[in-house]
Amino acid sequence: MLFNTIDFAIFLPIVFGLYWLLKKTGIRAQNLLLLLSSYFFYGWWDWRFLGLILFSTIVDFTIGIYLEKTSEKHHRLGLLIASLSINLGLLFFFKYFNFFLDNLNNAFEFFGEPIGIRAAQIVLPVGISFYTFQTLSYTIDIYRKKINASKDLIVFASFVSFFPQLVAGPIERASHLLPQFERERKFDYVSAISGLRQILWGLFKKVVIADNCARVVNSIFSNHSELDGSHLFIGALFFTFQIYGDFSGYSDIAIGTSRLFGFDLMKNFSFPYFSRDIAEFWRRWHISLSTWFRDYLYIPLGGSRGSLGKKIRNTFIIFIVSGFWHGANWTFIVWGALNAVYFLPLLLREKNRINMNIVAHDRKYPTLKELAAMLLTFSLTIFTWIFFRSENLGEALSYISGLFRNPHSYFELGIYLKHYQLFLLLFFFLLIEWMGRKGEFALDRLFSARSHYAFRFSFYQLIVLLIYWFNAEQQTFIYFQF
Amino acid sequence: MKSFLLKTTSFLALSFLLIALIFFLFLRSSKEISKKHTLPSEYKVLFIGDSHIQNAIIDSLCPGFLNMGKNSETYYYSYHKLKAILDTENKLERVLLSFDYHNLSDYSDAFFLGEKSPVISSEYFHFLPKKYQIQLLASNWKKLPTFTRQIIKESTRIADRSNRPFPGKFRNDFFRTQAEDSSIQKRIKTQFYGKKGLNDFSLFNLNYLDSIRLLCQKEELHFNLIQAPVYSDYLDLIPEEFIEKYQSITHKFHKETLVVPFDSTTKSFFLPDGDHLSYEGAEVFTEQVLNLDVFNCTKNISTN
Repeated sequence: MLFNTIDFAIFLPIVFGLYWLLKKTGIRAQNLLLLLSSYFFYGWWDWRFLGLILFSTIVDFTIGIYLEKTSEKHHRLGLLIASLSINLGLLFFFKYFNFFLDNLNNAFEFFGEPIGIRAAQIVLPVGISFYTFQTLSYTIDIYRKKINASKDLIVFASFVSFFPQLVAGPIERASHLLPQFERERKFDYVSAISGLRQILWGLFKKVVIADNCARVVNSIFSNHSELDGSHLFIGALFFTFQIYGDFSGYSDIAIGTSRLFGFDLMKNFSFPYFSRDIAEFWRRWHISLSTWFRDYLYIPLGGSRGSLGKKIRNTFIIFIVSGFWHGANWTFIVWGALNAVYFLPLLLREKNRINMNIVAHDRKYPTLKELAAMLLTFSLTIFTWIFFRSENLGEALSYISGLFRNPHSYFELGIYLKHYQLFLLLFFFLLIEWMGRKGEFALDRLFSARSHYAFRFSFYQLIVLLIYWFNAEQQTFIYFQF
Repeated sequence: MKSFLLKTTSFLALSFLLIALIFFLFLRSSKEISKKHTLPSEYKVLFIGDSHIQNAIIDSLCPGFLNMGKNSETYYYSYHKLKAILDTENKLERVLLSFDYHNLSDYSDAFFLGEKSPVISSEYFHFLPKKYQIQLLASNWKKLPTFTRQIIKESTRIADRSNRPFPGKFRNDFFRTQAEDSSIQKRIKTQFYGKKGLNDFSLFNLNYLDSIRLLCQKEELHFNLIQAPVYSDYLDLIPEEFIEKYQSITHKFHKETLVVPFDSTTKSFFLPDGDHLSYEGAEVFTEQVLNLDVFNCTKNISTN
């Protein structure tokens, strides 16, 4: 089920109503309802893959209990390896099997010994990368004795399959989300209203920004070899907004929806396009994944400590693995490696932690230096997204070389005016994001407590009207494929 | 909780009412504009139907002709469009309805209440009877935001008085094209075969074919069926059942059916699908139509 459909608009109020009606019955009944609703939500897409979630849930629940019971070191390590192998094995099979097969075929062909193994017909289960990483963090944390194993299968299953974040995150840690299923939830008016505002803004990002950008982007990327550089620049620019609107929009809806049920999910995006350097960008983009890799991969590898060689190795590993997490394609690997190249100079000069606060946190406007730094970071990001969006490396390189085709076209105003409506929407979007950058999300603290109720009310009605009017052809969320 | 539900419901209700108000205001304005529309008196012959006729008759070449064909227009829409046009001031004398083999196939039933209806019906919506408007809105409830928005957009187009409030006009941007085997086969598959094999006949379309004929009779207009040519290879692939049915209907309406001589073996007269005329083909076909006996009076009008 997609968040931006009538199906979800019907599903959500029903589950919400039932959930709070069950409050008197106790948290067990509420958890059971959440679990069934989550399975229904997932099964709406393809019920066959419910078995996979169930399998993963039971495996990690059982391993978690045994891990806690056992104190013997080798036994514990064996259990952890079993959990890692099963979870990553499933992920490998569904997501990466054909990629490795293709590359094996190509390698043999290159050496003149074609083996001709045919790719298998494998459907990628929606959200497998997200819930796999979530359950992995659970067993690793028990292994590290950071958390206790859950003794309640319904609680654990609800944690694994919680519908707002099941298919595209944020990737929650057991230490943060699991206890919330174990304690009583109270309906909090302020939090619920704020949740609705976040849903509204998430829908705006997805339906108005991402989907409208997608129409132009799809057409430009599929005809890139015939278009001038200026068109390709517009395509890359719009994709930069598409991917942000799409993914952070999903996260906003997920977090907002969870708040309606009394849950608090971790922040996933924090105005990344206002970053002044790449390190800051990565602290603000897909936070739940970046911190996952930081805690479970980067730090165990030694992090930024150790020799120069180790620092470089670790940086490349984390960015390349992060790229590969997004998809079984060399384009994602190059995308990750490019980000490592951008990040490394900052790390080596120990300047990767100089921009910790949001830009101009105590002012209305940025300084010229900050503006230049933001523009530079944004431009570097646009470039990397070309690899992310392209079907293969050949297409990415051809797209990049196309950026220099007919350079005079960059000065033709008509090309930009053709998309004036979308530029205006992006301007409005950036303006609201800038004004609201000090909050958890753009609409969080956009209005001061003193601002008139009627004004706020009219503004939210305007957002609804914009969603209605600019609601482009429905596109699935990009991150579903990951 | 009470306060939350009250505020949320009132907010959403107001959003809904606001959008509904905009929708009904625009719809009403389109209806008013259509009613007041006057068809210039020079138009005596009206062509209606789907993309086949829309592509085929270059009405600018023949004074007195008005081509109001529109792609994907089934007879249900043609009927209501014609009814709406005849309700306005006009000097029409003859109506020519495009009638081809594919019009018999039920694949086009989906254009009314099926998957494609929101896209197709939005241009016709303002002059459809209320009963059908409600039916369309109800059957597309899942796509209501997109559907109603398309209707509003259509209303803004109509509000621009330089446009006609009724959809359809000659359009053919296909220069230097020719029929291609693979496209022809794909087209045949789309039009005559579904998941379960051969498509059924569209009773819905055939009923409205009768309705259009009766409407013309009632309004004392000459009525004709006209077939836009198809490429010979395409013709060979049409299932026998549809050929027979087509012949039985043209036999029944033999007085009304116009036979236009045309060379259907020249590839360049067609689009790759073999089912539509290219601009070159349209020029030849329009010329042939003009030479038909039934248009003598129109020619006289134009020369006078």
